[in-house]
Amino acid sequence: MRKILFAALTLLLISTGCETDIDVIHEADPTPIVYCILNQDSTTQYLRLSRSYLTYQGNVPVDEPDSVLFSRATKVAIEEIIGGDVSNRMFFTPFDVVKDNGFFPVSEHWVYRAEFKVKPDTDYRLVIYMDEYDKIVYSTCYSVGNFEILNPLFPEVRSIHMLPDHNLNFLWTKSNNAAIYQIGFLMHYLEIGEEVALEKELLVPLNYVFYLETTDNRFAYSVNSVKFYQFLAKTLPVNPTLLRKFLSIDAIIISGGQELGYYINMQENDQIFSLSDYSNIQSGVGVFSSKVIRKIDGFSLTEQSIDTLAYGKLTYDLNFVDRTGTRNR
Amino acid sequence: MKSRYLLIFLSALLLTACGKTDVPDAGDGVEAKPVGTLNVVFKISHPWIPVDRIVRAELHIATTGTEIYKGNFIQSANVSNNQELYVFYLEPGTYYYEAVIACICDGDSCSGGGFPGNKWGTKHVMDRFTITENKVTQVVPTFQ
Repeated sequence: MRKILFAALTLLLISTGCETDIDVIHEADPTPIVYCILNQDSTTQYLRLSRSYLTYQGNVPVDEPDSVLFSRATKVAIEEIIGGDVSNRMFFTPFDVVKDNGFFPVSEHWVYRAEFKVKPDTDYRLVIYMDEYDKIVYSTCYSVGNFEILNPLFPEVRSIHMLPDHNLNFLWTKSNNAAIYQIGFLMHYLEIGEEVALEKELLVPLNYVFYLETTDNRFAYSVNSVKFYQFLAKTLPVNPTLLRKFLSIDAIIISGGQELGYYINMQENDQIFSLSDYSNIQSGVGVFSSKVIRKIDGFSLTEQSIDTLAYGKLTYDLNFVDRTGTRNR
Repeated sequence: MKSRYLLIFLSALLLTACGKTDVPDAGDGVEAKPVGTLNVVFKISHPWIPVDRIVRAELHIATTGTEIYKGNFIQSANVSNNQELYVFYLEPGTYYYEAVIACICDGDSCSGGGFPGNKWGTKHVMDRFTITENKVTQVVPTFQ
């Protein structure tokens, strides 16, 4: 009798003791998402910190900053490390940003900002402490070294010839610890309407972001002139009521740290079904790296290049004036 | 026996399945024009201004001397101080080139060295040359 009772009790326990429903979507601690590229040419540094969030069946989360951002009380600091010791500690404070047009999960947004100058060839450590989760996120990076542009130079007497018969060659010295360089131009031009002329500028990043592992002390890159005109044609809106006039062009080279190099290299090589995101953030996701920007301002274009801008088949509809300051074709 | 028929059938299929593919001649209607090569050895020298204080400023090719003055060039080079040889590919004929150097000394050294004005003063040289098909023509701009 006792055996029967024991067996009945065991069966009852087995049949009712286990919860069989599986909670597929379980709210765990959010993952911090951190992006911070130290700008060695500026005394103001920015850091973006957001958090992962769950969506169910593609629903957009409610417009609550708490669901996308960590509390403003989160402590964010960067430590400068020299000789293995912290020589300086810089604290970041939240800074509200005005968003551009487009879709964002929440209307409110802030980034973190600090005022300090980044030294070249120096170790930096990022530390983020979240009170509410008792969680520490950290990362390290070694800032890139300074470098110089060797060509193009002397905008006072040289013009850039932006045609395929003799493409422009960029030449620059090595930036220590840099794994990636990007070449670009900043073009200044006038937009002349019926009543007003506005001075505008357009950043022309050349598509070619490339990864370099070499011990040479100089690097060279030949610009594809056609891509320059293709970018203008794709980016500037066609407006027959406007005339445009080329003013000047700045040559830009940006060197990025190894972490940024790995990250962009991963993005470039990413396969459609693979998730090969690079991250150097401990207890989080994102990139902490540094960059140096070099710019030579104020080149003119050769007269043939200005005429190509005005009448070339790629940019004809953009209504740039030719070398004489008119459009007569 | 069956396998032999199958083999014959498959062979016939392979031989006849694809029709002849017409490969268009990529060069139809396009004829490469004959060209010759121009090498411009763009050296910098000066009797007493240090050569690292003089920079290459411009290098252009035009069909006539008048077109040089008008700025109607058919080709131009992006000159730099890290490159001495500039190569142009041109159809056979007679052309003109213009080379320009600039002085970057401070003070009155540039005008003393014959560059008009002071810093950024320029010297120009222009000359005629002939391009022959499949031949290399070399010019060396010489500044007074």
